[in-house]
Amino acid sequence: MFGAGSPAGGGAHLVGSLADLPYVLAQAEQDFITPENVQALIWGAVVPGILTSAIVPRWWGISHDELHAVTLYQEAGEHLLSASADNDDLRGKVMSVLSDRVSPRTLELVQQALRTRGVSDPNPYLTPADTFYLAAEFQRQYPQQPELLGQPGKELNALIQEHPDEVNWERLSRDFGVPHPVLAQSYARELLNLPPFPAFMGYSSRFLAESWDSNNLYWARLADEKNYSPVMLNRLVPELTHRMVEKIFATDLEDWPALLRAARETGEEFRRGKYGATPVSIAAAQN
Amino acid sequence: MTRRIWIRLVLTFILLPAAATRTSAQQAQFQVSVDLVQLNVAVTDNKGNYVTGLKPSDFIITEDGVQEKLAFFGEGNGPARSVVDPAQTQDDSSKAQASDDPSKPANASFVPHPEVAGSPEGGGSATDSLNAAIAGSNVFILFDTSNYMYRGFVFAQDAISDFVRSLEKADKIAFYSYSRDLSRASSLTADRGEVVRGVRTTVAGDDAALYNSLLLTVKDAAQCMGRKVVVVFSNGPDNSSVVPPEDVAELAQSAGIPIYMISTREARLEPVSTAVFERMTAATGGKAYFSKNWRDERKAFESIRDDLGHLYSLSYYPKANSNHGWRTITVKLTGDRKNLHVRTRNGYRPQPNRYPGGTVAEVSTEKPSSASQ
Repeated sequence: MFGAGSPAGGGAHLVGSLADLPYVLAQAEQDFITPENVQALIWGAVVPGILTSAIVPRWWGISHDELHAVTLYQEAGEHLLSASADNDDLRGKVMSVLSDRVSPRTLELVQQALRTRGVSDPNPYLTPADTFYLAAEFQRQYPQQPELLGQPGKELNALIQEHPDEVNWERLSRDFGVPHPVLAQSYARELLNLPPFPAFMGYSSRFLAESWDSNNLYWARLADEKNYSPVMLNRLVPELTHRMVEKIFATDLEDWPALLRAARETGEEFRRGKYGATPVSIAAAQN
Repeated sequence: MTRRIWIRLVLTFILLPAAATRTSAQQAQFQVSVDLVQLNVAVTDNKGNYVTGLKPSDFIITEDGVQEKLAFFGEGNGPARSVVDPAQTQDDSSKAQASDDPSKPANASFVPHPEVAGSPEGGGSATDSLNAAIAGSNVFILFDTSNYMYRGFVFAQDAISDFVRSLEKADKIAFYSYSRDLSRASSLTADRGEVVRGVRTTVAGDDAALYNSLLLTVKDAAQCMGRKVVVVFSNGPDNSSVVPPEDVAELAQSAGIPIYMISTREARLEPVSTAVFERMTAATGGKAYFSKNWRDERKAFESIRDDLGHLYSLSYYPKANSNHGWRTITVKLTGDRKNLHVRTRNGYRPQPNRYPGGTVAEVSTEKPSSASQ
């Protein structure tokens, strides 16, 4: 971006390679989003990455089964967590799986919450991508114990047997992952299963945004709950992400749970029908 | 053969009523888009004093060089009234008698607009309240909370709070603040307390994206009915906007929104910003003020309040004009009044048709929808 803020200039211009165009356009877009709260410190560095992850993907080739599988993986992960509160053996396995995905501090908080069940809920610390990963990885490591994934696990197994090509990890990772232009030097979508990167300086803020891969999974689950057609994600994902960005209220540079709070708040409003696609826009997207 | 004719007759009697019903249901409905151009005009003498008491016949409005006919006229916080063509008035036998009232203009008469001014007498509490609501301006205050405002921030907050409290009751106020992004601290409301609470919640810091934020503010203001103005309280340069000030000014001009800029002499250290402030305000019919310091801002606010109270509101329906680009507006006073100065926006860009795929219809079977430019 060249010429931003020049008081007498003719506006900003894009100069340079087209390789990072989506990110640069998202940088400009975020300047026109009005936050609901006082401006958060991590806003400028993280939001363009989150917007890019919502705008670059297209959702024309997603099937209903694939969309529903995304919901089932998240529900199965949540079932595992809640079951592990009363089962020490299971809790050990769950913590072992999660240790590859979440930071030690988060892991400790989750473990503490599970031990003192009823006092606090582990969900405030775990993202939709975490529960998604938990179910998928648990299923892979302990295939002989499918019953531990509960009813969602049963449905998921049936779906996998019926449509193995549509609901396997690689396919879901490719369709519901996020681009990693800095981490992987590519705008191809992928679920990397990384803990949120710490933000300290330079590109690390972009790392934080690129390691945040929960949005598309969560929006897909909401769309599935509302029985939207998968193509509606073309409209819903950018809109819900925009709303989420308005709600981010972070207190410090590493307050990534603020993203989770903003996403959940957006999701609750969507479930209440505060916003979403109109019948006209549904028809338009489906045509 | 006879049987075939009989069947045709039966079918005709069955289908005819249905076809008639369908025809009435499918009757053509015309929608008409009428553009009303609204101008806020300040008239001052050589000493800068406001000139009041002018009549519709004192103004000559031209658009792209073509003289336009005034449709509505209002002064200060008074209600806008329809201006009736004298020729029409004379043709109307019920209004044939000449008026002896000296307060009425010589060659044009006032008729309160039925949707604007209520009954001709203007009596009744409901009408009064409607008049008051329409007469008031919607004031959008935009407060710079960037690093440039760090010094004297609290004085600026105090001055804005005073300004908010002093505006007349009929006015509605929205309070926005900005640094790198816009924050809608208080949306348009008549509740002064809510606005002042919004002022008190602001904090200083971060980059300044004045023109980005001003663009969003003007877009918000353009959506409300009635007279609206934007008052910007800023002390300096813009270091992060991606839109140029010219684009913001053009949008404000097209929407008929004067922009007032309030700044301090510190801003003059940055001549480019100063020039932009002056150019933008002049183009939109507003004004730029540069006070000595933050405490002196109150004088600027008083001046704006004065301005709002003395503006003439002129509206006209533009004559057919093939120019779909920028249209230049000129407002002059009749007679030899070289000592008087007229300040208003200098043009507008007509909005595209609001009915998809349609053109502006000349004939309507429905109530016309009016939109101001």
